[in-house]
Amino acid sequence: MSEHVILKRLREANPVPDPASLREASPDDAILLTAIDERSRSMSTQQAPPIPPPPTDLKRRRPLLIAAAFAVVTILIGAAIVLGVNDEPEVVAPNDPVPTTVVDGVDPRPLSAQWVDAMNQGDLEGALAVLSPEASCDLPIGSGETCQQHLGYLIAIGTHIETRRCGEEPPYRCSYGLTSEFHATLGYPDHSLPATTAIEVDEEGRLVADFFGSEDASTPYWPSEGGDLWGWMQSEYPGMTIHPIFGPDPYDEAAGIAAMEAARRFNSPERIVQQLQLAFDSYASSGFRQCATQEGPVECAPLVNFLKAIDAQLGLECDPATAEAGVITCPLTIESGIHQALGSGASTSEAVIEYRGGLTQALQVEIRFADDPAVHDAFVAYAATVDGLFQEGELIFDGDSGRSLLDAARDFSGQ
Amino acid sequence: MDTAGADERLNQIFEHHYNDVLAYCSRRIGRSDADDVVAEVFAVAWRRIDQIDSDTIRPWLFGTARWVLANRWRSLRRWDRLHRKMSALARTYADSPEVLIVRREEDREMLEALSRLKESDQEVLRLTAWEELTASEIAAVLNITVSAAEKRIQRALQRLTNVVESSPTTQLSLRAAEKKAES
Repeated sequence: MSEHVILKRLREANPVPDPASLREASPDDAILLTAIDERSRSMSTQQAPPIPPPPTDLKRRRPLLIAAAFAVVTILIGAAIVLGVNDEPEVVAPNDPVPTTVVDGVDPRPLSAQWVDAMNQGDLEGALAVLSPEASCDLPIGSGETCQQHLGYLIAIGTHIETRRCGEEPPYRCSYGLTSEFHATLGYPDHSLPATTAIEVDEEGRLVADFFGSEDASTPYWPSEGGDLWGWMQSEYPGMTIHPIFGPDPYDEAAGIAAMEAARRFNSPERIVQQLQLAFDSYASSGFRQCATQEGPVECAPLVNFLKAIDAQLGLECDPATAEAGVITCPLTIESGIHQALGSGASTSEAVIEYRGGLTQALQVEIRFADDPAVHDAFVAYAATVDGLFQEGELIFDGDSGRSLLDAARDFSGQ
Repeated sequence: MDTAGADERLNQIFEHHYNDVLAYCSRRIGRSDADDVVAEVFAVAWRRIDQIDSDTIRPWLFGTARWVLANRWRSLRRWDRLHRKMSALARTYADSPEVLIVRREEDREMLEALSRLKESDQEVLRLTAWEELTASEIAAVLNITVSAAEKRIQRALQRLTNVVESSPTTQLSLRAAEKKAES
C-alpha cells in the first residue's frame, strides 16, 4: 500500500473534517472573548515591592515571592494495592510492547528511596533502573517522551529531591520536595509543581509511579518571566529547539545542560549590566519593572520620557563585580539641556539596580540638575513656583514636565 | 501596543483563526473539552500579542495549542487510567482522544494505526493530513527547521504505512474501502 494512499485515508479519517461546523455549536463569540479577556486581565502579574527613597533600603528588602514554587514539588506516591489487581487489564501506553503487571503487597518505599538517591547523585542509569517501563515521568511543561529524557533533564538542571514523608501502610503515599539549581540561579527557589499520585510495584520489583504529573494542569511550571529566558535562549542557542512559551523541546539531558548554562549567563551581573547599558543608550523603558528617583517611585515610561525631554545624556558605569544578592549600585552621570542652561557640567549620582531571573526588577536613579548641589537646590526651588511641575511637593517626572522644566531652566538662568 | 490596539488585534486573530484552533483541539481532545483549551490558547495569545508575528499566526496558535493540550492531556490521561482501573473496563486501543469521534470503522482502524506511532510522529501526520499545514508551517508549530519537518513527515508516513501493512485487519478494511470507492 503506497504512502500516498495511507495519507489519503488518514485525511478521510479526520475527526473534524469541517471546522466551520464546530462553530455552530460553540459558545457565542462575545461570551468567549469576554471570558478570555477576563482571564487575561485577572492573571496576576509580578510586581516588585515599592522602592523606598534611600538606596540602601533596596538591599534589605525581601525578595519578591514569585507564584508557584518549584522548590515545593509535592509528589504523592501511593501504592494502590487493589484486590484482584492481577485480573485487571493493565494500562498500556500506545507504544508499550508488553503490559506491566502490578503485584500486591509490596512496600514501594525502599524503591522510592533508591530512586531518590540515584537522582540526587546524578545517576540517571541508576534512577531508570529502579523504574518500571510503566512509570510516567511527564514534566508538565513540555515534550519529551521518556523517563530517560525527563529525568536526564532534571539531573542536568541540578535537581535535588527530598522525601518529605511517607505513609506507614498501604497506600504508601509519599510526598517529595524538589529544588533545582536552575530555578535558584534564576531567583525562583520556591517554584513548584503540584502534587501528584503514583502507584505500585511491578512483578519485576520496579517502581510504577506517575512522577511530576498533576490533576491540576493549570498550575504553571514557569513564572511569567520564563518566556523572556526562552526568547533569549532562542537567540543565544540557535541549535536548540525552544518554544517561545514553554522552553526546550524536547526536555532531555542536552536541553538541561544548555538550560543550566543559559540560566547562569542570563542572570549574570555582566549580562544585566550590558542589558542596562543598552536600555540607557536607547532610552528603552521596557527593560525595567519598577523605577524610582530620589523623590520616590515613578512609572518607568514617563521617567524615560522625562529624560528624553530634557535631552539627558546618561553615563552608567557599572562594575559587575560589585553585584551582591541581585543588587548592583552604579555611578551615574547625567548631562542635559537643563545642565547646559544652568551652566553646569554633568552631575554625578548613582543608580541602584535590583535584578532577578535575568530581569531588571527595579531601578532607582538619583537625578541632579547641576553638579553644584546649591545650584540644583536653587533651581528646584525656582521650579516649584512654576505651575504644573510639582504635585504634592514632588517634581513630576514625565515628558510634559521635562519640556516645561527645560524652559524653566532657561528662564531661571536668564534671571 | 496599547490595550485598545491589543484588544483589536486579538479580535482579528480570534475572528480569523478561531475555527481552525477549535478544530485542531477538537481533533485531539474531543469537542467537550476543546472550548476550554481554545480559551486558554487565546488567553496566551492576548498576553503575548506583541510577540506574535503576523506571518506565522496560525502555526503560532497551533504550537501554543499543542502545549496547552499537552498539559491538559496529562490530566485527562490520569483520570482515564483511574477510571479504567476502577471500572475494570477492557482497553480497546491506545488512549488517544480521537477514538471518541470515530465516524466509520475504517477510520477507526486508521486512527488506531496512527495511535500506535510515537506521539511526535502522530502529531506531524495530524498537522499534515488534518490541519493541512505545509512543511514550513509544521516547522513553525514544532519549532524545528523546515528540513527537519520534511524528514519527520516522511519518516512518520513511512512508519504509519508499516503499521498499517503489519496489521491484517486494518489492511483488509482499507482495501475493502478502496474497492468500495472504486466501484
